[in-house]
Amino acid sequence: MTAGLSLVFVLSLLAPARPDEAILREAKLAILDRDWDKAIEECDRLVLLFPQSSLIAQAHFYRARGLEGAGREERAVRAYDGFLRQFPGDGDLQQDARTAQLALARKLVDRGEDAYFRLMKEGLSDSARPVRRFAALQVSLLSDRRHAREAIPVLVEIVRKESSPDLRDRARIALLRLDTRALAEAEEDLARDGLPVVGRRAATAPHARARWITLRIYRSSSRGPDVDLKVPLALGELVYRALDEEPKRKLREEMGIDLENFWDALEKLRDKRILVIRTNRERIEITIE
Amino acid sequence: MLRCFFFRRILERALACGLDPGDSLGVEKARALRVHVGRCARCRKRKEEIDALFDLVRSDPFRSKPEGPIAWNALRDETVARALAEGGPVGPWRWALLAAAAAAAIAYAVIRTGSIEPPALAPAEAAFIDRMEISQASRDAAGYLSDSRELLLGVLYPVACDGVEEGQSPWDVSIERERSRELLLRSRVLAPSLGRLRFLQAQSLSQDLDLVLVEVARLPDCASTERVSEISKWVRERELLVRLDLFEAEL
Repeated sequence: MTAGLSLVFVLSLLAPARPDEAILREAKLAILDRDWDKAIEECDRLVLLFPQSSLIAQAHFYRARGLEGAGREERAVRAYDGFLRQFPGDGDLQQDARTAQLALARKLVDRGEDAYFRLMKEGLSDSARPVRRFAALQVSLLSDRRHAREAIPVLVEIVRKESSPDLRDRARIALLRLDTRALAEAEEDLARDGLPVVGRRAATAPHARARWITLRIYRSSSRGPDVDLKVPLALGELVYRALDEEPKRKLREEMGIDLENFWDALEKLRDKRILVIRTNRERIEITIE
Repeated sequence: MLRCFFFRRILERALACGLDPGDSLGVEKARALRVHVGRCARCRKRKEEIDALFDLVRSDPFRSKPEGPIAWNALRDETVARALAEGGPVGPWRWALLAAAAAAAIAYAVIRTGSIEPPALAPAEAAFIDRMEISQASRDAAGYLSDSRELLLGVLYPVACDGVEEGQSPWDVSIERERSRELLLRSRVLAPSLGRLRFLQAQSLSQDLDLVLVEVARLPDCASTERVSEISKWVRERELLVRLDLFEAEL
């Protein structure tokens, strides 16, 4: 099969390309080469010389991408906007254009260009689910907390309904930062609906109530805990990874607990109630509820 | 009759939310609480301490009306300092009560100012969540690169569409096409983290992959040799598979 494909591949290279196709190919190669100015130039050329070409939508899209790559964010946002308005039927590129626009808007808002927040807010109510969820993750990253909190309802939706574990865990972390009460409600809903709650353990151990890890870290100089976090059990692996090297070493050497069996150790905590790790710098307490 | 243990549990639950137990209980529990406090001297003393703290908080959540965003951590510290300065509470509940008073002060501040913004995380907590996020990004990046690799292999070595003789075009890339959309979204989600993690080479690789993924997303389910070959050519010329292997190993 490979030999057959190679032969046809060679033949296809010998076939004469249409001039508009050749220009678009140049533009794409320029993008791969990070030659943004050339990419923009080629796209402009295609639009100018072949206004009736079937490749016009792509030319507009890649022009916007060229502007994005060149770091001309505001112009890129406008170019994507032009593409989205002129070619609403091009579904394959529409979603990518929309998410690119949202990512650019986040950079601009964080740089003080508050007017672009309107674009991000529109993304939060976009009818396309991937765009809406992407917008929420972008908004949650904004350094202005009041803006970032606008993402909370969609973040809750992601925790409750998203099938991709990556995106769901991202939304959980964002809610840990922004609103632990909303996270708690989302986890309880998720548990009640019988959907996966604890990541890779979900298939074998569904729970009617959401389960949590409470992590308290006491540094020697303070009276109360320096870190007092209630984290969904689903993020248990990330809690382990985020510990400093010394407590991880202690866990490994003194209790035989490492990343591989951390889940089992957490499960056993139900009986022992609390896992305490003492190092020179801190005392770490992990409890499960 | 309500016992000390249950009395403490009721209070703990209310205090954990920063609520005045007197305001937050249902009628039945509030009545049981009153009866118990009337009979048990030790619990009565605790209740008096709590009441005093909540009175203190109610009297003035701020020393002065805040302008602009509320400095939540400062409000918390100020409440604790004021409670300590006024001599109470004492005993083993001391820090739990002070924490509850601080939470209540924030709740009153919210009511008073109309703000619903919860307190910002303590710096050590924010730092811990940062580390969790970095671990997550690293894990996601590894998954994204691995899935991209699988997709590229699917495009480089496609199978013939149904009803077509083996080894002949058009090629069935329907699965790759579907997955490329999902991977594009994951790539966009990952992009800020790759920047923060200083995985600059992964960032550059991800940009190259994006263009290929856009092209794959645009293929029809049964694609011509010409279209598949063009993508294959990019993959080979840019050594995308080798670069993917290297980063996967690194991550």
